[in-house]
Amino acid sequence: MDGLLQQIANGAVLASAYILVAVGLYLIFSVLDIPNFAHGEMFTVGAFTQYALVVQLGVPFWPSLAAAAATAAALGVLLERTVFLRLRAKQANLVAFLIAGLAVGIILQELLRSVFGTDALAVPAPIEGLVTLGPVRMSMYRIVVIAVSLVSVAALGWLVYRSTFGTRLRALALNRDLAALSGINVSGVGTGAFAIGSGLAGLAGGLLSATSSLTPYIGFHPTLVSFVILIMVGAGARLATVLAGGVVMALVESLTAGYIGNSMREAAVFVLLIVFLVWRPHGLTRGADAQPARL
Amino acid sequence: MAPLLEAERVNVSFGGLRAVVDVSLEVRAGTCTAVIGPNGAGKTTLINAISGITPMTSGTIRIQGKVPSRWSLSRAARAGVTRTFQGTRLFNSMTVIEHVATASLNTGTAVDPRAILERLALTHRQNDTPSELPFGEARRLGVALALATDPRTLLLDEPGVGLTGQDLLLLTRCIKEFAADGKGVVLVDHNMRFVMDIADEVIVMEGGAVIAKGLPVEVRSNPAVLKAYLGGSPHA
Amino acid sequence: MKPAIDLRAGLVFDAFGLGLPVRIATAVVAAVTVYAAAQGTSMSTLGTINAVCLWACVALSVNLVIGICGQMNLANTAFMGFGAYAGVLSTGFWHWPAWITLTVAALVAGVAAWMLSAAIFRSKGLVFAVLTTAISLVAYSVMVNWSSVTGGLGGISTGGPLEDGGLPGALDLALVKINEPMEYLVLLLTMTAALSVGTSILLRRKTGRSWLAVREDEVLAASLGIDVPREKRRAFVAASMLGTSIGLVYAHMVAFITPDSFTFAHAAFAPLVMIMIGGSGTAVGPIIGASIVIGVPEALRAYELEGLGTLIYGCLLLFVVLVAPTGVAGGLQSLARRAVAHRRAGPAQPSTQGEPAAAEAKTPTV
Repeated sequence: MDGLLQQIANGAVLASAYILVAVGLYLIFSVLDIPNFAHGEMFTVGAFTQYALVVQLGVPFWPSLAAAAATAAALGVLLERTVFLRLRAKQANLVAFLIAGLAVGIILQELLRSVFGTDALAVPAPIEGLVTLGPVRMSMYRIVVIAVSLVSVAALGWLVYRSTFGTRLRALALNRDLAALSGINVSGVGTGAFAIGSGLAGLAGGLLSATSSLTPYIGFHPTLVSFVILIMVGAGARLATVLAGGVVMALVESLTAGYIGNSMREAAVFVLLIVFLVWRPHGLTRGADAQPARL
Repeated sequence: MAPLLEAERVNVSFGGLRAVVDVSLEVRAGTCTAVIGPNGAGKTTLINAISGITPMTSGTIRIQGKVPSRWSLSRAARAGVTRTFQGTRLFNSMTVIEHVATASLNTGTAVDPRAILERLALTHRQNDTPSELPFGEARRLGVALALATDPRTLLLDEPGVGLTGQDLLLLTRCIKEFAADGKGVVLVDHNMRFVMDIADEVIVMEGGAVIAKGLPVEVRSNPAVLKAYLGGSPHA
Repeated sequence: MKPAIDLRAGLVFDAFGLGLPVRIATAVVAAVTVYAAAQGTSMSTLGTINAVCLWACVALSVNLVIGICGQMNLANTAFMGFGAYAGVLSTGFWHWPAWITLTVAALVAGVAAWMLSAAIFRSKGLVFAVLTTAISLVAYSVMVNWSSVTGGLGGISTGGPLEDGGLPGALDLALVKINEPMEYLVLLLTMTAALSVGTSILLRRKTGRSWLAVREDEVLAASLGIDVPREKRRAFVAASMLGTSIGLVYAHMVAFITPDSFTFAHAAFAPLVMIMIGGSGTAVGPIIGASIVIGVPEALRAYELEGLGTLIYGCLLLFVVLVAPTGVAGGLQSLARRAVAHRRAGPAQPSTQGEPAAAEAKTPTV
């Protein structure tokens, strides 16, 4: 039991990362209807910005973190304007979005590689020390990571469900045309969603840069996991469900790494997806107007 | 002779919403049946159920007296029941003649795509793609597609929407010729003049149920129908 | 069997009237030209040409599902990997002739694909894409972790256990045994030509037309009597069987395989890119795409600019997707189609909504 709890504790940081990244993707997808396959790269950019600021330029950790999130947000907006909105205007199909996203990923990965190389890098944690909670031991910093993530998600929840901007976000997600007709600045709100979503991923990257090693290729797996979560919770899910999804994925990975083998950890999430889709081909929560068309 | 198509006591419910309630209709050879009613009356859902794309909650469909073992959109088309769609639904990368030729591949009888194009006055457009077609011709292509499957029963979902003048006349003539050839037509539309001109029988739906059924003249003066259309139809 | 229109004359499904003999002749000429050009080139150039042909075949097979039928199938890694590992094990360890393994593996792949399709095609669009990606990634994990069979990350060779240091096994195809790169070239050119011509035939027949219809609008396709689930399944089974066979040939050609040959990026995404750049749903597009995707980085490698190659790859991809989504072949086809249409139509045909229908009907037919 102690071993299990320790595994779960180990997975908690991963859960924080997955939650932030998945919620970010969820925001972008539900508000803008854009499947952003470059989303995980915002995580990578956040991590490397953190590295560049803290390790190479000696900037203190926490301001760097803010800058990392902001950089990711800015990059997200740039991508939205130059790539994704253009595709949407052309009524591009899924293939186009998939390839565009992965192409952006390739470009970003290559740029990062040429600047930082392929050796695994690390950022020193700003807080030292271990904490013992009953049978479980965790580093102080990891607890802070979990706390920061939870606070961020709570703040986002407040933003989405209690603020005016959030109302506009949800209006846009429900019915774009209607939102435009009722005077909402669809373009501005959309960009805002993209910025926040990307910023969350960047925040996750910055936070986790001090708990794991960095290479330019660490973004692809979070992208996939976020999509897996998105698919499993389905259209029209609440933020809390996405959060739960992040926790579940992290648990699945940690437990697999702990009990089956570390080399299988990444595949575990995908096995879960395959099993899930056999049971529920359309996801968990189905939109009210989704009817099975008998072709 | 058995009717070409019979729908008996069709019910379609989505969750708690009853979209089609106990609707029955019969399509006899050589006739055109119109289904009219205010928006939200369930007309398109009825067509969806009959054409197989939406499962019925209960009810029976009979094709020339026989109940098909399984019913879906493509099975219906292969059984001679073809439908068109609201709006313009075409294959954007195919030319007009490719459209009709593709549609004719899955029928059991020989269909000449060029003859179909001529019937719908689209021959001069045969090498164009949908993006190059004006609205009226794009709508006609949709009907051409359906005709190319050589159906015995045609289900037309708002084929007249947005059509005027010669386009509408051509469509009317086309439907009448089709029916006169011993086939059946079920037509949903909002253009009352168009409907009353073509239909042999009119069914009026409201709130998912049939509120009137009969000859066009009878239905036109039916008080229940007038009440359902309170405010008048734009084309009456 | 009675299409009333003469499909072979290509008048309807072929804007350019290229009959089958013309197409076969073109393919043969192209293959012979490449073969001739390959004489006397360096080993590495020959290796590149072989790689281009092999991946052209992969792209052509994946094109069936993605390009023609329009389903975002990213599960190719699983099938290609299966064929490859089956091939290496059979030639290097069990000493079966490759042609037996090929038949068995292709059949197994076909059955597996048949059974899988019932489950996976219930999902559509994005879900289907991620699902097939998941299949590829799980397959990769199996290749890495089932090391007792696959040799894990260390890989296995057609020469048998690595410790024994055996020579690479030949690709035993009963009638011929393929060993040398030149022999592989002949085999691969034949395969490429066959798949390309085959695709061109498919595109002009009922099955190919149905698949194109499914790609464009599956509801509309169903309304025309096309059995959509069946067609998707057929495309998937065909592509999977081909993918397995090509994987087997690939394994023999390179003689030593590791899971890194079958990552998502190499075996699922790259073929998709080839199709996209070259022109999806066409008979030559995948070949053009493979030439660019494999050829350009190789050329850059010769000039020591490897990283740049990846960057160019990404930018090219982005460019194609944003600007020219029909790819090279698609763009050429539209140009040619417009030229042909102008030539056939003569003076421009007037037609606006509202013009008398009678007048339209009397317009000279083209």
